[in-house]
Amino acid sequence: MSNSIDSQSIPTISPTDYTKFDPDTIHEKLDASLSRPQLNTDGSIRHFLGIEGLNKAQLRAIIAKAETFFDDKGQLINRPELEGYTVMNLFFEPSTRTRTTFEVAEKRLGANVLNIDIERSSTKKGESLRDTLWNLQAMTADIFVVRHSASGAAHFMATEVTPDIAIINGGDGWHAHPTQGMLDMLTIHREAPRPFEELSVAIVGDIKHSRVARSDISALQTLGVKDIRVCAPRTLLPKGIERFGVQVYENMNECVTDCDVIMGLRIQNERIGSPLLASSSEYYKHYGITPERMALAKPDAFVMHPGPMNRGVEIASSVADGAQSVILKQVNNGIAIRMAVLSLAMEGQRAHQAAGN
Amino acid sequence: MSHMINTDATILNHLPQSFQNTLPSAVADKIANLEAGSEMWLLPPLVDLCARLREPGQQQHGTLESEGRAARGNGFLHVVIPPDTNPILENGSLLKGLRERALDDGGIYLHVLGALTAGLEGERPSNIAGLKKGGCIAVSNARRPFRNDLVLLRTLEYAATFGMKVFFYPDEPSLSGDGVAHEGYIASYHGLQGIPWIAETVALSTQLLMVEETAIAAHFSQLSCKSSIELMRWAKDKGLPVTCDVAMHQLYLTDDNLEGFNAQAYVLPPLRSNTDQQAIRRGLKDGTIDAICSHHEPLNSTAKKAPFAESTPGISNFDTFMALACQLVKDEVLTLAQLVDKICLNPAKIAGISEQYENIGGAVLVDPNLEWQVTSESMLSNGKNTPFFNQKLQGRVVETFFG
Repeated sequence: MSNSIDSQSIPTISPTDYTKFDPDTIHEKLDASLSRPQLNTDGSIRHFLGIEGLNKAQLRAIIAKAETFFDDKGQLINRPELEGYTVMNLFFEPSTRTRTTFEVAEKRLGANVLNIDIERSSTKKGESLRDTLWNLQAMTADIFVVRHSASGAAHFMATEVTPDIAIINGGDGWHAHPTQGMLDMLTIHREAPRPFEELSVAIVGDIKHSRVARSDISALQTLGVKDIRVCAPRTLLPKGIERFGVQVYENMNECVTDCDVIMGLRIQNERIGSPLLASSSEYYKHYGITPERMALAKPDAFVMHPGPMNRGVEIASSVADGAQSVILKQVNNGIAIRMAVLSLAMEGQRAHQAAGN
Repeated sequence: MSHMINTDATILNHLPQSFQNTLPSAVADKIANLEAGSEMWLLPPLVDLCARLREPGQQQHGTLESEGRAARGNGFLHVVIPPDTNPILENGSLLKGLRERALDDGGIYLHVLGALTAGLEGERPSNIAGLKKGGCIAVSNARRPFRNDLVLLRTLEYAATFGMKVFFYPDEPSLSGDGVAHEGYIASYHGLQGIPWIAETVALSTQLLMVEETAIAAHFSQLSCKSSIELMRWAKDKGLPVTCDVAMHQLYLTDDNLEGFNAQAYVLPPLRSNTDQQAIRRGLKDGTIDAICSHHEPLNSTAKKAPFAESTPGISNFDTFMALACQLVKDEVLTLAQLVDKICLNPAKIAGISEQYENIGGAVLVDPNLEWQVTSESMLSNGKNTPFFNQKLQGRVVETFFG
């Protein structure tokens, strides 16, 4: 018997995965972890939860599918691909624009549409999200479009629903708004005179609290944009933003100089006069998208905004309504993208079921 | 002890002499029957400075019986619980009943932190003299805030009057807010609200200065940040009567483990960065950190079945504690002798129970190389909430012996 440890006698085993941090692989690891529930084994989309984990070909396929919903004159067409299917729009937090455009897209595809305003129903009575979800799926549906205030809610639901239901993320917390991200990509694809790989894109405004910004950054990177810039006061930038693969600016003029695309983000009123922002006038002076700043961008640059806009806070009215604005086109493109995502997710569900899963 | 051995097993015996004098005969019998060639560690019983056994008030997650069984099966004979139960631990007779039931039903010695302020509301001191009489080893406000710093100062002065030690779990709520994850890239990537490291260190700084002012003995539990370790180093250099611990999982998990909204890794204080983890490992090695606690928080099967931020924080840690402890030795973070100090002897000193600890005695036999899989069946705790679920770990308690 020994009374003291002999370190040589104890073999050093490989530490578990939990002990190691590898900055070179963390992005892949994170992307893989978020792609897990949303792809079929063949790589096709089963749920649409986020941009992370999807590759360039998959994003291109969504854009290409969306293009098929426009006729030769650029008008949206109806195509009853979801006839006989039921889509439930489950909005756990209020939304007008996103819910309406989803509803329009679903009806153009011929689906039976149910809008369920959960914010004022079961969960207010203390029912857990899981129980609410299980009750709704017992009423039989094929697709749930979900908006929820908690980041990761769509991922959670995708792990809880029965295999015959597809989840489409209509926005979860600060995390992701993937259909907004894809409609932004469709808009850039249609409006930009240069391919994604040659573009400089500036995203300005409340990056920290924006699910749109996270989805846009992820989509732009996947589609090959090398020059992605973000600009905001430090209080509106998330910690570690530089590791998203973007250039961080605090000076708006420098950020927009020679840009092809300027994407504005909404400043929520409650942030103004809080510790995050002093006043709307100071914000507008330093970070507003003004005609003068548009003049610093490339001559054919255009401006985007997910809406609703605070005119005179994050964007000048003359810019929002001007020739370089594609903001209303974004809304129109949003319907095509949502039709594409709904259609692809339903295809993925059918394939998943056909594979016997 | 050579008379016990009739095999070629290697026994690394780290029992202090006082424990060897009262060693039960069952230990000798067990060792005599070990397989030849096996390597075992013989340690004193483990002392845990912070675990939640879920009684009273949260029996849906665990009971004194279930969690006592898990503690004992994993080598812990002495367990300290914080006062934020339901009802709050601020009543002497409640404490006495809990201690008795923990021993009768769970087979463990329970040591209780009483409430530092009435109702843990941070408004005024609790009946600290009464709590001391009821057998509290120390007082604490758990992670609940104080109304202001003056209340904290006066409450510490009041506790010092009765010679009570205070346990702190430093957190400044105005900085941690509704955060659910370490404020950094991983939280940003997932869109989760962050808890900055200064939420811990701002509170810790204030508390250390108050300790200096009042000269009260204090223990700081579950430190998680690099700067906290630096502050503790400063306080100890200055000669303040302070000690500290870290939770075992902070030595092996980081915020990377949140990937994919992994609610099993949701714990408060949150899993920190790799830089923080390296710093607390160094602090452990150089003696700045005195002890390792389990921070065991068992939860029922539905508690994590929600989106990350809406799930219940906590990791069930009793069952994986020894495997991670073994890994610390294998990774040469600590020698086995140092490990025994951090998980047995120092916690007993910090809890002020050394005399009782030695009198009770006992021993824990550990197989540091036993490979096992973390499953519902292999876990003794009612709570199966662990990020190690389904993983293979090495090292486990073979048997816990009473003295």
